[in-house]
Amino acid sequence: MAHHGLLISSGLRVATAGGTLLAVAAIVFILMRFVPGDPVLNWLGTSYEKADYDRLRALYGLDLPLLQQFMIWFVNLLQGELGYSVLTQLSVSEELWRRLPTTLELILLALAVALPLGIGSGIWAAWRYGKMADHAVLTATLLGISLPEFFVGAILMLGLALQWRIFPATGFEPFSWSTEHFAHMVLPALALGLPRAAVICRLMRGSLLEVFGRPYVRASLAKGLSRKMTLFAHGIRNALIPVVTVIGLQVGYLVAGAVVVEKLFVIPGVGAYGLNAVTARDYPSIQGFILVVAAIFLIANLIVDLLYLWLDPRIRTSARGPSR
Amino acid sequence: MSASRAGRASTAQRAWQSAKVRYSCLLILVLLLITLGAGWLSPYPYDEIDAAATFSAPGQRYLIGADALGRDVLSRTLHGGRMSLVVGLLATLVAVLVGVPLGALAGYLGGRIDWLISRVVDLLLPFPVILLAIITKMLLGDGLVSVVLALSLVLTPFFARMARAKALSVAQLPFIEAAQGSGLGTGRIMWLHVLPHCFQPVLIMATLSVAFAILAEASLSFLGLGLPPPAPSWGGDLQASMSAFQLAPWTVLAPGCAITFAVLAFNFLGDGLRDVFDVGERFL
Amino acid sequence: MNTKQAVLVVDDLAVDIRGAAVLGGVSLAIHQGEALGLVGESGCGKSMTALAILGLLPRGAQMRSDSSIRLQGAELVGASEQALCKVRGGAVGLIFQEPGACLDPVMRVGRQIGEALQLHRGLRGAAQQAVLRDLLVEVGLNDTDRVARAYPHELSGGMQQRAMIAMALAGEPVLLIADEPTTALDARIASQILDLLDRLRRDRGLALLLISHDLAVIGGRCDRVLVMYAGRAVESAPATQVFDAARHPYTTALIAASPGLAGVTPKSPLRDIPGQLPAPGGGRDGCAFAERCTLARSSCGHRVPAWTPVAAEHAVRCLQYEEGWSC
Repeated sequence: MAHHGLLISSGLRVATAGGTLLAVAAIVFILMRFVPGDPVLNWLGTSYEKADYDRLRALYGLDLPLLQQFMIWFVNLLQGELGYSVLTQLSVSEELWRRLPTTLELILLALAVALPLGIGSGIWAAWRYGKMADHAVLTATLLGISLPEFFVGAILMLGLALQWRIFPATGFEPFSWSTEHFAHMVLPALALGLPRAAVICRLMRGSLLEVFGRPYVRASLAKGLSRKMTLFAHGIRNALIPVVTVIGLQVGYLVAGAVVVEKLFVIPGVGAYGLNAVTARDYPSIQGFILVVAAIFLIANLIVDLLYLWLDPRIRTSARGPSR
Repeated sequence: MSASRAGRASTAQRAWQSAKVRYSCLLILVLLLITLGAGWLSPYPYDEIDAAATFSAPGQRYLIGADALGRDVLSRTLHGGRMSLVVGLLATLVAVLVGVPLGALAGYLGGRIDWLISRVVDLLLPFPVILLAIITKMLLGDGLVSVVLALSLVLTPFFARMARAKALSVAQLPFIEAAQGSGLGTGRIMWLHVLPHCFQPVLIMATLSVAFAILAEASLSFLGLGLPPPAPSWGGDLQASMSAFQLAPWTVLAPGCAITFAVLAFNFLGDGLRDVFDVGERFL
Repeated sequence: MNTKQAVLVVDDLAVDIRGAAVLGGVSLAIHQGEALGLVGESGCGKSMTALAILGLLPRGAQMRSDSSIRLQGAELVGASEQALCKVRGGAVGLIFQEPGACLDPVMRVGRQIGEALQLHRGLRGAAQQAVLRDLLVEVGLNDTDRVARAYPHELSGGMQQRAMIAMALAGEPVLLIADEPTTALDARIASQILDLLDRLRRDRGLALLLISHDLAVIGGRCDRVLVMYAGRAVESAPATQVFDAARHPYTTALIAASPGLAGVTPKSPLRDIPGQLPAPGGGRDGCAFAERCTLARSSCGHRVPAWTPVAAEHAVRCLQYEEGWSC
């Protein structure tokens, strides 16, 4: 009975995510068509042949009625076909697919920094509430959430790469299980992960402090469990639940931050691609980029939602999502 | 609960008790003075180019050094604050003015309106600011409006969700039924009874929003998605100086520290207010 | 004097929170197999007394050093945290008012009871499971498999409270403290739970400290009653004498204000006690009840009355008995 509810809830979540992605795709398509100015004129520049103009319009299907354009585009989308970049004439989907692992690796490394550091320090600060350690953590995290990612990256670069030459400053080595590759990823991962760690730390601390005031913690102590045992057996898991839901939101910020970090450290990921596309007004590429980013954080939120289902048995019986 | 002007005055009094609140207000005051008084405080006009002084180190002539075009970094940094502050405050203002009434209405009325508003809010909620900024930039071109719009779109859902939660909790109370029974229209009930309950959490969220908006605007400028070049902006200056990082680190450190200072001041205020009012809502 | 051994002796228990006295010198004694009812308004310090016995005072609360709490002869005040942990859930079991909130919402009930079994009796695995089942049956939860695998929110209020009782019994206690165990429950379920506590007391020879603001709950279930007001005990008597022959003005007022007691019919108005509990630490030199007492005299505001015996095993803190007023 309980497992049935779990399956249905999970299924609903997946379906919702898929539906949202399609909705995003549709919105993106419509928005792109509303951009002021003629895109073909943008690409061609000031002097052009009419024949070229007509050819390009026909090539990109811009001379067809809007609805037909949408149908063609939608069908292509379902097949994973995202068109061709105006800038490079290369397939958008191929290019994004090639760069995706790099960006994903960056995000995962940043999470590997942010989650243990954030959750760990949050627990520690809550445990030592009111004492020096707590104040120190609060101050450090206040700074952490106020520092922009690119500044953190810049300082790290200045200090660890340029001044003391511990890590390479910019550049990227293709993926391999080697020090060369990871040496280039350390600073970017830190730049991306440290500000997130500060946010997560505060969340965890706040959540745990709230849990400390709950009746079941007092009941656990009354049962004879020591403070430490109560923390590990009952406190942390309950405190993690609201934190997990917010981490899903944090992934959105992580993706945005990845764009920044990729630019700063010159890493050829999805973010760098999108940025170039925006500067060049390369619409097919922009569309592809938006879709990929949307997909990443929708999937991340989906994972978080499913995780939440697993963590909190109370909502398994209701099909609706948690009120975040 | 502060449901009256007198209530709001005592709220301010209580807030002032906290040392955190006092210090952060001081910091913000300093910030405001510096940005507003940038014109008088700057030793040089921010766009005065001096080819001979390119990348001068900090010293007597240029207190924090000069940038790639020989412009005084101190003057540029002082002026850069204006835009950041304006964007931050404007975006927050829009988010509050749009989000709070929408959310409160959704919570108070319930039913289909609630469903509709909640769906829209849920859709917008996880969107990273970058995406929205790209879209608004495409649609509206460069400029203040497009940046403020993008930031407002990111912030509004948070206010709407919070206002909705507050409205839901208040709508249950019996005196609301009494007010409805006595013939008061929805608008007046909202204004007199529902919205005042949102005041404290909105205040906290607003300070944190300004912090977030300034940070986001700086990031956007860094990426070239923010305000267009001639206007001095912290993020933009940082972006322009990145290549000369090794040569002239002060060109990067000055705007970076300025951003951090501004954001920290507002975050600090939000922290202090949250301690005083003990609102549980976890925003960022 | 009760010849059975005293399980718990509390002497002059005083607790301050940030300098203000919330408990001002409470003394009580519970003997083996005896049920002592602790009754008083909300905020009078009954729950604080229960928590203090186990050393579970909230942040900022300080027990005064001349307090003494002896459990089976061993002094608990000043004992090490380790020693106290052994007592909590072990020799002394404690159950609370809202059982649902007192159970970890993300852990299965069986596992939570198992925690106590492992901690106090070192039971694991199959042995633990067996004892767990026995405990559940003992408290009336016969569908042991379902209950053990259930999460707290899947159980009804009554079942949750039974589970909590099972948890408290896991450590084989000699004393069970029940702090408002039925306040959050339906009347019918409440009565069942109280019956359960009665039965357990008889079957296991437990001592019971039953805390409630509701005199009707205390009424037929306790051997002795201790009435508390504003952090102090004001009357201590056998249960029968309290209801038929209450002496302290507060007790009589409390009885008069309780429906279902003292012959109050549906038509007669409930007599409310005017005034409010004074805030803790409100510069009290005299009797705390003086300002609400219909019999108060000027001397009541100057001296805290001492315990005055008025009958067999019946004592009162009231100047009219101490000074022997004639009326």
